[in-house]
Amino acid sequence: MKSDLDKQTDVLIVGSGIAGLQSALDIADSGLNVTIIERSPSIGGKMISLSKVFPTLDCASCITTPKMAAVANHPRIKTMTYTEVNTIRKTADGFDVDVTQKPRFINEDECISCKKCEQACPVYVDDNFEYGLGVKKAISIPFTNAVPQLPVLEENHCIRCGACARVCPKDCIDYLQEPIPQTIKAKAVVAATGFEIASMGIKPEYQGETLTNVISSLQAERLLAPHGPYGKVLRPSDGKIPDSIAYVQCASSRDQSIGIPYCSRVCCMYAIKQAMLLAGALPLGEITIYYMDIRAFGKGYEQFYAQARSMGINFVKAKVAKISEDVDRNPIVRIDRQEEGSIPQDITHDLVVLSQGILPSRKDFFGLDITLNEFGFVQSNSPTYSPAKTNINGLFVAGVIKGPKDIPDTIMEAGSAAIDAINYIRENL
Amino acid sequence: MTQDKDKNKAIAQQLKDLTAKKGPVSPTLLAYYKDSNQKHKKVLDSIKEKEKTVPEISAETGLSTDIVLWHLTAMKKYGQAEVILAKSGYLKYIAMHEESKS
Ligand SMILES: Cc1cc2nc3c(=O)[nH]c(=O)nc-3n(C[C@H](O)[C@H](O)[C@H](O)COP(=O)(O)OP(=O)(O)OC[C@H]3O[C@@H](n4cnc5c(N)ncnc54)[C@H](O)[C@@H]3O)c2cc1C
Ligand code: SF4
Ligand code: SF4
Repeated sequence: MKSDLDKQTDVLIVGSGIAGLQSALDIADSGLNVTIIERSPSIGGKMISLSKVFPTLDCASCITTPKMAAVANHPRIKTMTYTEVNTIRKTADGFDVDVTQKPRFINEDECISCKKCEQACPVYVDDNFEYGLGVKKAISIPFTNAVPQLPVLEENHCIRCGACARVCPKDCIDYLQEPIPQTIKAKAVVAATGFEIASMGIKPEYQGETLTNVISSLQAERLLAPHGPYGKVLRPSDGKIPDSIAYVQCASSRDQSIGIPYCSRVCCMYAIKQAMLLAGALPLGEITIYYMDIRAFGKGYEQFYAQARSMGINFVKAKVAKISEDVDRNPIVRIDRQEEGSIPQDITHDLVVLSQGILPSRKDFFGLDITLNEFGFVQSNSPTYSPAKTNINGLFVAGVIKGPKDIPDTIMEAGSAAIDAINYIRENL
Repeated sequence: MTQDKDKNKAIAQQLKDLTAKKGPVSPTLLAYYKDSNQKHKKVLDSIKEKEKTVPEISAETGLSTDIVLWHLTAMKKYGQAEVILAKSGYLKYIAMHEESKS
C-alpha cells in the first residue's frame, strides 16, 4: 500500500467530526497546511450519522456533507482516513505524531468506487455505521455519502473466497496489505477526538445489552435518518412499526454510582428532537419522555421544548427504576412518578430509547501529560479568553473532547481553536 | 479469456500467500458464514412468490423474527427484496425478480 501521508505539516488535526472539519477549513483558509487524521474509514464524525439537528430540524447530512466535500477538495488540507493516532510527542519545534494507517486491502489510487466488490461479496455482517441495526458486506463502502468513497475489507469477516478480486475492474484488491506506522511532524496540533456514548450495559437494571427493543440514542438517530437501516421507523425485534415509544432521560448521566455524575447537556434536546421527528413519522404513535428535569439551555431551546409539548408528546416526570420485557419482547418500564405521588407503575411500550451519557473518547491522551478535568475531558488553560488552549503549548482542543456540548457550541470552539493555532504558528515559529 | 485466466491465477496466488502468512480462515467464521447463508436463502425463498411480513416469514421458516428482519434489511439494501409500505403494524417484503433489479 502506498502511503500519501505528508511527513510534515503546519497543523495536524486529530479527528474529523464537525469540530475537526471546521478547524481544518478555518486554518487552511488562512494559508497554512493542514493534515487531518481520522481513525474511521470516512470523515464526518458523529454528525454525519445524525438524522436532523435541534432546534432547526435541518437535515444533519445536508449540513455535514458540503463541509466534508470542502475539506476533501481543499488544496491545503490532506486527509488521512482509517488512520489511528497512537502517540503525540512534544519536541523543540512542535510535535512528532505517531500514526498507523490501517489496511483497507484495496489500492486506494486505483479504486473507482464502483462497488462491484461489495455487490459480489457473499458475507453479510452487522453495519457499524448503523450502530448494529443495519447490514453490510465483509467488503463495503462505509455509507452513501462517505468521504472518501473507498471500500474497506474487514479481515475478521472475510472468508477469502476471492469474489471481490475477481469482479474488480481495476484489479485493486490487495489481500496482503499491512498496517503502515509512520511519524508526522507538525508545528501545532488541534485535538478534536470527540466522544463516545456510555455503554448500553452500564446500568444493568435497564438491560440495554440484552433487550432487543431497548436501543441507544444513536441507533434512534439512524432509525430516523432518511437513509436509515430499514427505510422506516421499525423496532429491531420483529420489524413492527412501533405504536408506543418511550425515552429514558439521564439513562447514564448525573449518576455518581456509575462514574458519570455530570449532566451530558445534549440528551434532553436530542430526545425532544427525536420525539418530534417520531411524531411526524408515526402520526398514530404515542411518545413518552420520562425525565427528572428538562435542560433546555441554548438559544431557542425552550421554545423547541414548548413546541414538543404542544405536539402532544407526553412528558412524565418520573425515575425509571428498571426495564424488563413481556413474552412479545415489549419493554416494560417500571417508573416512580415524581409528581402524582410516588407509586411504582409498570408501563409497556413497543420500543424504548436510552438517552445515554456522553464520555470522552480517550482518557490516556496519546501519552501527553495534558490536564484533564475530574471527568476525563480536557481542561482548558484559559476558559474565558482562549478556551481552546491547553497546558501544552501548541496543542489546542475543540468540540466534545472538552466536555458535552451541542453542534453550534462545537463549531464556535472549532473556530476558536483554529485562531489560536494560526496565531501560535505566526507568533512562535 | 487468457487475461481472465491470468487474473484468476494471480488472485489464487495472493490468497495462497495470505494463508501462508496468516493461517487458514477460522472454522468459526466459516461456520457463521454457512449458517448465515442458509438462513438468507430460507428467507429469500419464503418471499419469492408472495409478499409477507416478518412474523409470517418467521412462522414459515422457524427463524426468529429479529434474524428474519436482519436478512430482509440486507436484501433490501442489496436489491434482492423490496418493501410494501404500511401505516401501522408490519411492512411486507417481496423478492425482486431479476428483470426489476437491473
Ligand atoms: C444521539 C445524539 C444526537 C445529537 N443530536 C444533536 C442535534 O440535533 N443538534 C446538536 O446541536 N447536537 C447534537 N448532538 C451533539 C453533537 O453530536 C456533538 O455536539 C458533535 O457531534 C460533536 O462533534 P465533535 O467533532 O466534537 O465529536 P465527534 O463527532 O465525536 O468527532 C470526533 C472524531 O474523532 C475521531 N477520533 C477519535 N479518536 C481518534 C484517534 N485516536 N485518531 C484519529 N481519529 C480519532 C472519531 O472517529 C470522530 O470522527 C447529538 C449527540 C448525540 C449523542
Ligand atoms: S474475499 Fe472476502 S471480502 Fe472479498 S468477496 Fe470474498 S469474503 Fe468478501
Ligand atoms: S470493485 Fe475495485 S474499483 Fe470497484 S469499488 Fe471495489 S475495489 Fe474499488
